[in-house]
Amino acid sequence: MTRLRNIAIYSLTLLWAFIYWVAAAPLLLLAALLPAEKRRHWVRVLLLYFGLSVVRVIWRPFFKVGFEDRTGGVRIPGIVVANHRSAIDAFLVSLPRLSLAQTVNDWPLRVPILGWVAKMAGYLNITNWDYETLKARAEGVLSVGDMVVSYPEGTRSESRTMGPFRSGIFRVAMDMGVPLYILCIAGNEKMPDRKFRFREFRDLKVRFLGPIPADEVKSCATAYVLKKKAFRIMSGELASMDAELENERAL
Amino acid sequence: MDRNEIIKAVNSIFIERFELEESELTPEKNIIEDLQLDSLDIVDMIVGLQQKFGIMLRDNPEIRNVRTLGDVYDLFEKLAKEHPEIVERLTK
Repeated sequence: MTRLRNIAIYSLTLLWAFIYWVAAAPLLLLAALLPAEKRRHWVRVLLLYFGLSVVRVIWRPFFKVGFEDRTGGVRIPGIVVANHRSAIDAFLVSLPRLSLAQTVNDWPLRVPILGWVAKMAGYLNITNWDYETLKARAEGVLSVGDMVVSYPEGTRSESRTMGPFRSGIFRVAMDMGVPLYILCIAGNEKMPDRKFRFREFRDLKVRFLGPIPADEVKSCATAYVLKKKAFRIMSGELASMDAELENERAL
Repeated sequence: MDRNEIIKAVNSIFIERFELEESELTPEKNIIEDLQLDSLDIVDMIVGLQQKFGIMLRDNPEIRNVRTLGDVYDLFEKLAKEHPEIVERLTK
């Protein structure tokens, strides 16, 4: 049964990706006429609605995602850090309805269609870029009112235990003097696993916290202090969310 | 200058720069695995140690072999013997 559902979810997602991006092709061509950062912004908007449509429509027969915004509506451009249990996080980060540039490793940028669009959207390549390039491109993203989302664990954890955070994106936030938002994603540690197989289909929770204000970000002695602060907040919230999910599943 | 003074000076960097508790700072702690410093944090650590001890570490090959806090204490104990100005700076 799980195998059939895997086939169904991937088939529907791929079919929808094809339809969506074929329909969006004229808009992508029009966007190509705009200056670089504006062009990237509009591609990010298209990616945002693609992500939202996948999570809210295509995946709805398989699992539901509860989203809670605890930012109080604050949307000052900044850096968003999210925990990373599985590959679907790249879609779930669309739930706060922000046009985002994600930090990615090299390989997702080589995936047909989505990788090409991600490049057009100015996604930040953390494998090949040095710190200064990363920071300059992040500044470009924020200059048009968008945000950068990063997964400071660096790789998928596939478990409820977060891996240690890397400091790079926290250094970027401090150097730029911008707020740091925290996005917590719970329940998807086996959806899918590292081999992209959904081991189960269960409801998920996503919670948008923060932000840690820009002044507080700038006043941290080092990026290490900021990453530890974000780690503490995130791990506390995730523990609550996991417990809530367990309770809901037990009912 | 005895080892305890070196330990106190090194620990002060970890407390000020990384807001770690003194109780966490024991010689067997691995800087990467236990204290979770990554490469950028290690640069911050080296900058802090350089400022505290008034000595350049960039060209010191032994800094690359540091794995634990105990290795840091050993290195600075050795450097303090080789460079009297460190002792002078810390006792000011």
